[in-house]
Amino acid sequence: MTASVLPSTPAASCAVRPPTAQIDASTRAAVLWLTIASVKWLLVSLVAGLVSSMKLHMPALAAGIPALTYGRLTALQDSVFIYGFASQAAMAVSIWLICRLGGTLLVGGGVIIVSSIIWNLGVVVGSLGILAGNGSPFEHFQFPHNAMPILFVAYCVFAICAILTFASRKECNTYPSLWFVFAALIFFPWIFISASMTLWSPIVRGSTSPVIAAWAGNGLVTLWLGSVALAAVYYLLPKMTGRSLFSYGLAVFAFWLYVIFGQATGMHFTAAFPAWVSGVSEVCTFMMLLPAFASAYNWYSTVKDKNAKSSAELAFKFASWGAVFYMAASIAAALGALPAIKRLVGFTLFQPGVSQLFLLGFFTLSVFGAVHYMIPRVTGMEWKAPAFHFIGTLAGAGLVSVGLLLGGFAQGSKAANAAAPYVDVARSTVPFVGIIIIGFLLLIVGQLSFLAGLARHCCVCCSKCIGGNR
Amino acid sequence: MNIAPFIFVGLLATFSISWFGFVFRSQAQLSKLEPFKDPITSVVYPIARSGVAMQGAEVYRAQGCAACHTQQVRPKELGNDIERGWGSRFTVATDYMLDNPPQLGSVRLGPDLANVGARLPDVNWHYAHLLDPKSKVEKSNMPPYAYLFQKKKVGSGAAGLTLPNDPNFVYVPTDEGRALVAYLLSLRTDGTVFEAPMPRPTTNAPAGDTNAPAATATNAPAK
Repeated sequence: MTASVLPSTPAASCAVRPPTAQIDASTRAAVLWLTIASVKWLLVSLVAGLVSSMKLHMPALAAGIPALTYGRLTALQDSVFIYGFASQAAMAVSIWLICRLGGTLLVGGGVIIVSSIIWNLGVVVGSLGILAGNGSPFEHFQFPHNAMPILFVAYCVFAICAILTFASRKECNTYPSLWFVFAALIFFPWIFISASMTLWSPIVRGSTSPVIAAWAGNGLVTLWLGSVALAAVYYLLPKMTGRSLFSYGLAVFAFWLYVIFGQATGMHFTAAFPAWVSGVSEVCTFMMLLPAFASAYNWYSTVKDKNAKSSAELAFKFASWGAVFYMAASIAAALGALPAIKRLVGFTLFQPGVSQLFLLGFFTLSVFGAVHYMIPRVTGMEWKAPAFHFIGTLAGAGLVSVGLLLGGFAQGSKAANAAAPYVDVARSTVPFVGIIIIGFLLLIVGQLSFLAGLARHCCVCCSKCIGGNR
Repeated sequence: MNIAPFIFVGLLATFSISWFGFVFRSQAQLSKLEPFKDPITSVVYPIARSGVAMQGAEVYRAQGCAACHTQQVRPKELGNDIERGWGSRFTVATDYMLDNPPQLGSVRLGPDLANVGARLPDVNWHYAHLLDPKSKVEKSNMPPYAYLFQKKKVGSGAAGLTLPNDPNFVYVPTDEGRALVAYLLSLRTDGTVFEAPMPRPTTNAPAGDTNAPAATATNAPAK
């Protein structure tokens, strides 16, 4: 395979693209708005995660407050992460990548901000619903039903702007990142509407609703969020090293295998599903190693012997570690699909650990790589990125994921002895919960430093615009 | 060449196949389930939960109990749940056919509850456990749910539970507390089904607010 495609310079142009600075400026308001809104929700999610982890250490903590039960806090943590942070961050990265790689100006930047306001309203309604005890028991769809139409309307408004921008692109050739963004934008409404129309329907009863919830929940994480994170890594690694992507063919291979096998991962632990559901899911989860290794080889071949200057940049560090977490999450998920390990770690903290490797590790680091790359460009000013953001996010994501995985193995090993009282099995997780708490604290401090740095940067940016110095 | 239309068609095809399999096919397969009538005893399983137990399912959902407790007993190849005494057989889709939605859970920070109504049929045990888990399980890491009880002075005529460190008050279950315990007692997956063998009976619990027949009924003569 030979080098073929560079993110910024596709092989052919259909029309003259506007200057890059003008493209970036067109996305400024929408990207900054979505970034700030998303990181704010990430903080809420992390605080909920911190308090719920502390409750595992001290069960009596806030036990008299119904809104703060462990169940409601974990539901809040998950839902706010998926819809408050991850989805809005994915939207910010998507529109910027479409504009950059399509060589076109953003269509409807103001409309996207309006859609984000509606989206945030939906997240607030959903979060309050969970705290009030109106949440649903479906993982990744724990917001009460009344929040779903608000989120869907907001997404439709956003998607219309994104698709119009995509349609007005000046570059005819599409770089691999655009395929992933395109797939993500299309998969989200299909998955979301399938889940919303069925999970609360009186027609769908019994075991059907958990099957649909598991399918849709995993699709939401893998096909919506995972696709955008892959788009970011496919863009950043070649871009930051000034190289062309090693192999276009390998990227095509990885893309199609990812969207095919990504449809049915992570559903194999539930014992109450029909056997074919678990069987198909085990195969798909294992086969996801193929796109993971294909992408890893492609990225490694692209960035090997990279020059030192690029590697020092924060965005490159974030994206590289995001890629490492992607591999780790894929390998851990595949191991969990092996019968012997599935028996050992079934229903333990292992499964949330794999989930956090993907979400807190792969998604968060990759998307923050894109955010650190976008901010100086959309504002047209260099910014001194807070260094602790990288350290705190990397160490925090690592500690939370590893703490959960090790806690899962400890729990599974203890539970393997059927004579051991289950209370001892549950208590075997306690030392690892300590690691998870430290992880959440690091993540929180990291995001606070990022928000403080971004607020300063935005103030300077706004004063430039208001003062007419731009 | 503009490959976006080809990508769109490919994505539509992959999504349609998975949608057809996991949404349409699941519904087609599982919606056809019907309660099983034992040809010898004429006992039907599952039967609907009582109204108060169904209210309790809502309390169970609202508190987020499924974050720590599963309601699924794995077959022997996948775990030692049966050996642990959590059920006499593994659970199957039929067990959940009358629940909307079933609250299966995915992590066990506490024991499985699929069959807790048969394992622990004492209503007072559950009230005492909810009020102060350590009173029943010394090393328990479950938080107390005291807000599911009304605190009243001893001598006020109210009958309820007392705590050793708080002898001047009695704790009377609220409607939510009663409903939750009714739901817990209704969690029994020891009915006969085709799909899972039933090696031995596990309980002599009487029939109450439950979705399973009482064990004593299983030897009744065929009608």
